[in-house]
Amino acid sequence: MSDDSKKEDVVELTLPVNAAYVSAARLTASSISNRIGLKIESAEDVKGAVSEACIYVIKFCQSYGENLFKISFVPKDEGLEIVIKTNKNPRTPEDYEGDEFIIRMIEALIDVFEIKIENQAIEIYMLKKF
Amino acid sequence: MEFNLKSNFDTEKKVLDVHLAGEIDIYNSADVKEELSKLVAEHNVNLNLHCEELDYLDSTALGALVSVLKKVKHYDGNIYIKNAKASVCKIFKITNLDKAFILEGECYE
Repeated sequence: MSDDSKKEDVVELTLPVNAAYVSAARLTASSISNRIGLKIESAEDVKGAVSEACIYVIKFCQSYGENLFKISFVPKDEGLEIVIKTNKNPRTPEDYEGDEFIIRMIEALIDVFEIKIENQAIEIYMLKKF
Repeated sequence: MEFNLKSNFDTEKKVLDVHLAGEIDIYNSADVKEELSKLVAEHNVNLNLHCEELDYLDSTALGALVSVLKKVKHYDGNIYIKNAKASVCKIFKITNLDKAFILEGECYE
């Protein structure tokens, strides 16, 4: 409600690799989307995309023995940026291919979407524009 | 958000009605699949899924429903998705599963 909201606020969540907490990520996504003024339909899209990205990362972490992953929400002038990262893991393959179905869903829900493997970790970048 | 599933089988009309409420996601989609599969195996009929109180479903929930659909098709039946909210309809549309299930209600009129 104040001018402070123009500054780059970063909301970070660290979640255990446990399906029980995907709803916590979804709830946070929904709350921040509403707070920065995304339309209801766009907020629903963000909720869905964050949920799918969590499923993607949870499946990866279960395969490669990671216990935690991190989600950052960054309100930007053009919309909401969301970055989901796993920890550095030497067992991370260079060409990990996750669930194609999940990728198609995120592509349909989000404006900018990229998955990359960097420093032996998965990073999912998403941007939902106003 | 809690998830809730209530079922009712009309023996006269041979209709299986299931009311879904809350959110179906990676945490509970396996339970939903098991429960619906059990109901379908018991009654061998079309499945009406009433979704007016369903707030959310994810890709694992869709996977569960597709698996139940295969069982229903085995009896030459169908799954009817009734009165889903716009956000739920959208998930079916973007995955093209609106062509596999029969969606009925407001967002499909």
